Amino acid sequence: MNPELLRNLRLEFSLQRVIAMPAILAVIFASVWFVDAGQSPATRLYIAALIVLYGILFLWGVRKAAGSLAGELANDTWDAQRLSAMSAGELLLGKLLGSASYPLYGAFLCLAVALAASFFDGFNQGSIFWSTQELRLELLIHTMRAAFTIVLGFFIAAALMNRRLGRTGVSVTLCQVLAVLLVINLQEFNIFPDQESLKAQRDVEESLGLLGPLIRGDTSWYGLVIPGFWFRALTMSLLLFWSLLGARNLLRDELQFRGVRWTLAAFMVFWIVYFGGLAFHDFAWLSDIAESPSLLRKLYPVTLLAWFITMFVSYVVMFLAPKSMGQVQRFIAGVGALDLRAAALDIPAWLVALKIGFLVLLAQCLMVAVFPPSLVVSPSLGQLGEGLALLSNTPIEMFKVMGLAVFGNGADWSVPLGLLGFYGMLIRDLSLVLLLNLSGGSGRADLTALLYLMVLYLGLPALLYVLDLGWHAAYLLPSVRFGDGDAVAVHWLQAAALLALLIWRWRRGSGSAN
Amino acid sequence: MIRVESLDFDYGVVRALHDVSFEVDEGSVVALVGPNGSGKTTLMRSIAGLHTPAHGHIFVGGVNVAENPREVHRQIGFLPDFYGLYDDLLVRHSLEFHAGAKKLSAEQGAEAIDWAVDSLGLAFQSDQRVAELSRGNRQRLAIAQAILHRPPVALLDEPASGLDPDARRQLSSLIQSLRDSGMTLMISSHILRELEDYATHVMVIRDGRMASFDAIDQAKGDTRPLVELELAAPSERLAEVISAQEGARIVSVDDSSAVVELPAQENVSALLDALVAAGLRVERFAQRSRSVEEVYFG
Repeated sequence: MNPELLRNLRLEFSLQRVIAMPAILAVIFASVWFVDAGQSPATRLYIAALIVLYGILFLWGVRKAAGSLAGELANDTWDAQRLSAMSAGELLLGKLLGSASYPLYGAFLCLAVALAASFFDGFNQGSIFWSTQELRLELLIHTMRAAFTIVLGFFIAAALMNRRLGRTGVSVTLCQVLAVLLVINLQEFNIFPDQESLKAQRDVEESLGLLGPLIRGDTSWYGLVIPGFWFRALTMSLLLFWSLLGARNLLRDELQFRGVRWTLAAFMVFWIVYFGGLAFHDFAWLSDIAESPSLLRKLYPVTLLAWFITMFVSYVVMFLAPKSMGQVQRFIAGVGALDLRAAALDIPAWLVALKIGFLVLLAQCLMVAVFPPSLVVSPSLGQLGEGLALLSNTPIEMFKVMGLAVFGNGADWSVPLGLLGFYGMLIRDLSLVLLLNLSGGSGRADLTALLYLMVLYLGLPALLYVLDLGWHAAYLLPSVRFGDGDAVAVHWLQAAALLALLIWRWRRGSGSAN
Repeated sequence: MIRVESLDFDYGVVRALHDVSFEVDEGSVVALVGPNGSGKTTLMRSIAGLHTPAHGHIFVGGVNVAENPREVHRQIGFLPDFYGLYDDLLVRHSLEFHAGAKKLSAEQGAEAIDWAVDSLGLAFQSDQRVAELSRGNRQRLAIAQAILHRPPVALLDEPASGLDPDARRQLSSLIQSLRDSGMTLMISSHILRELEDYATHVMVIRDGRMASFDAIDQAKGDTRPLVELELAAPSERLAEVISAQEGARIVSVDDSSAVVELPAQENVSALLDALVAAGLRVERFAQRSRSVEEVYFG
C-alpha cells in the first residue's frame, strides 16, 4: 500500500471518527427531511446533501490537502519525504487522498444521500428546467468540481512550497481561499431545482446574452456542437487533469526528478486551443472577420485570445515560480555549451512563458501580413455593453472585454505593434521581479515587485490624469489606443533600462559571490 | 565513495561554498567540523541531492548527483540538523512508514525495523506515540529512520546535539558498528571532541571553504607538546612568565592554572625551570597528548 496514504489514514481514521461522521450527517439530513420548507422532502434532501458536501470539502477538505504540505515544512519532515523512494505520483495520491480522507468520507456519504434522494417519490416535482436524470448526472459534475477544488488548493500549496513560503496556517488559508474562489467563479452554482430563482436568473443571463450556450445549451467548439452537460463534464475533467499534472510536476521538482520541462508550454498551448474553439465561433465583436469565409481569418481572434492567455500565464508564473540564480546559471551554461537537452532541463518557467508569448506575437504579425487591409477591429458602441460581461463566469467573455479595452481603435499593424509594446512591458516587469529577487528573500522581493508594478500601472497613470497629462499615460500602459510607435518605443526603452540594470546586478552579484 | 569537485553553492548572490573539492573512501567516517554558518549543512544537503549547486560536480558511489539525484537518494541516509518526526504516529508506525517510503518489502521492512529498534535502544518505546518520547529518544528515532534502509552512505548533520552522555555513548557505538559494516559516514558537528572516537578523517570548513581534510591519525600525530599546570598559590605573573618562553602558545590561562602549547619537547623542562625561577610554586605540571579538536581549533 502507498506508505504516505497509509500514514495519513492512520492519522485520520479511528473507530470513533468512522462512526461520528455518518451520525452527524444523519442528524442534519433528518432535520432537513422533517422540516417543512416548501419543496418536497426528497428535493430538500438533495439540495442539503450538496450544500453539506461543498461545505465539508471547501471548508475542510481543501484545507487538509493544502495543509498536508505546509505541515511537512513546519515539522521539518519534508526532507525525509524528498529523499524517499516514492514517486511524485505516489506522494500526490497519498497526500491528496490521505490528508483529506476524512472530509472525503463525509463527501462520499453526502453524494450517496443526494443520489438516493433522487429516487424518492416527489423528487424534482414540477421542474421545467431540469430532468431527474440531468440532476443525477449533475452529481458527476459536482464530484469533479469538488475534487478539482481540493487538487487546486494542493497545487497552490505545492507552488508555495517550491518557494519555501507555505509553512504557516495563514498560507494554508490563502491556498484554501484562492482555490475556493477560483472554483466558485468558474461556474454558477444554481444547479438546484429551485424553479423560481433559477428562472429569474436565467432570464437575466439570457437578456445579457451571457452564459447561455456554455452553461445549459449545446456548445460550439470550432464549429463542433457538443451537448452542454458533456462539454462541462469534459471541461471539468480537463481542469482536474491539468491541476493533478501541475501538482505532480511541482512534487517532481521537489523530489529532484530531472526531466525536460514541457508541461507549462503544453498547458498554455492547450488553453489557447481550448478557448480558441469557443472564440472561433463567438467573434461577433469582430464583425468584419465573422463574415469572412476564410478559415485563416477566422483564426485571427484565436491569436488575440492566445495573446491574453500567454500574458496572463506569464504574469502568474513570474510571481509564482521559483527564481533560482543557480538554475539560470545552469541554463545559460547549457545554452553556451550548445547542450540543448541540459538547457531544457533547467529552463526557468518564466522563460518558457516568454517564448510562447514571442511565438504568439509572431503569429499575430503573420496574420496581419497575410490579410493587411481587412483586419479592422471596429467594435460598435453597443458592444461596449458587454463590459457587463465581466460579471460573467465565462473567461471567454472577460477576454472579449479586455480585447475591447486594449484594441478599441486599433487597426492593421497597430494591433501587433501594440502587442510588441505589451511584450516590452512584460520584459520590463520580469526584469524588475528578477532584479528584486536577486537582492533579497524571494517572498518579500515578489511582494515589493508587485507594489512597484501597481505604482507603475495604476499610481503613475492616475497621477498623470489628475495633472491633466493623461496622454503621457500611454507610455506606461500597454495599449494601442493612443497608438503610435512612440509609445511602443518608450515601452522598449523601459524594458532595455531594467534589463541592463538586471544584467549589471547579476554580474556584480556573481562577482561578489566569487 | 563520495567525490566532490570544485563545488560552489550560492544563496541568491551570497556564496555559501567556495570551490570545495575532496574525496572520501568507502568505509570512512568523516568528521565535518566548523563553526555555525560555515557551510557544513549546505555541503551535506548538496551531497544528498537536496540542493543543486551553481557549479561543480558531486559523485556518490560513482553517480553524478546533478544528473541522477534520485539514484543518489536511494544510496543515502540523511539526518537533517532539524530532524523531523511525525508526532501523532506510534514509533513503530513511523518506522513502518519510512520502511515503506524506502520501498523495502514487508519482510525487509520488518527486519530493518527490528534491527533499528535494537541498535538504537527503542524497543521499549515502539508502541509509544512519537510526541511522548524524550528528546534523546526522538533523536534516536530520527537516526533510525535515516538509516533504516542501511544505505552505503549516511550523512548525519549534528546527530549528537541535545543527547545526554548515555545516548552519546550509544550513538558512538552505533556509528562504530555502522562503520564496521562498511558504511561510509559523514558526520557534522561544531564540537569535534564528540567525533574523535570514531572518525577516520577530519574535514574543517570555514567561511564556506575547506580549510583542511586529513586522516585523523595524521591529525593526532601532531607532536607539539601540550602542558597542563597548576600553581599552589595564585599569581598574576603566571601568564607573563609563560609568554616570555620562546614559541609558547597559551591555550588557556588564569591566575592559578594554564594549558600551554610548546614548540618542542626540550621546551617543556625550560618552561618548568622558568616558573620555578620566577618564584611560582608549581603544584602540578603534566604533559598530555593533544586532542584532535586542539589540533584544529587550538
